[in-house]
Amino acid sequence: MNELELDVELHDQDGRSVCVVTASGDVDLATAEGLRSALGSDQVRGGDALVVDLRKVGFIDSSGLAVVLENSQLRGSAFAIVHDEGSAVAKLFEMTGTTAHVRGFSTPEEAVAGIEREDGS
Amino acid sequence: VTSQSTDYDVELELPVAPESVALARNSVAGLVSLARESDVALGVSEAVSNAVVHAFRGRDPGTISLRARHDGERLVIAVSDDGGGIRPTLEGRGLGVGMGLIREVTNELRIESSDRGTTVWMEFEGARRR
Repeated sequence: MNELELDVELHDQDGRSVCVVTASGDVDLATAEGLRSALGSDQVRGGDALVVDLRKVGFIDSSGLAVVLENSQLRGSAFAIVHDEGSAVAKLFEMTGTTAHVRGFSTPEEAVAGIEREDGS
Repeated sequence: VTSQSTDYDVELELPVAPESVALARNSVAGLVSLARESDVALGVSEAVSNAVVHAFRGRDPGTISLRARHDGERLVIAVSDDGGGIRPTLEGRGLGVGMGLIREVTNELRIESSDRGTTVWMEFEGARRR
């Protein structure tokens, strides 16, 4: 699978809107720009917090990593990713020493709850 | 994309386009053992991405080629371009971590670069598919 499909859902969590973007496929030079555009769209930026679910991403390289880190830097504690232990996503973060730079969760539900607690609102 | 029949298990020419990154990954996927699958995919992806983004900056796009062959248990992959070689630049794109990742996933890495182009040689131990 070399295409990247993106699905956007808005969740209401204690009166706050949390946007969950689910990515499926490969994130590389050809598809990273699509992810970047989606995460910067009005719909996604309008949410109070952003969760990117990467559990269905089979391959990711430095182009995709850059998009994730940009958004983490931009949104701080209101940004999190969801990924599986031992996945391509997890390995890339470990290899680049960037694991501590992005909040990671095992499920979208945990991520949504974690973001809310971090913001304290 | 042009494929040729040679001593290499895979030899192909790729256009200077982002879509070539996945084409290159897919072209070698059938050669690689499961244990080294993700390493080879990442190495090839980063090498071809570097060529697409950097090799032809300020000049007409040329050609990117990929050659892969087994050497015993090793898989040897060369990604070449006929661009301007590795040059210092003030323009940045991405994180600039691509070459570091290639170094991380390969057992041997050699880079040959001149004003006629760049070749990245990558060797992966234990990558022969059974």
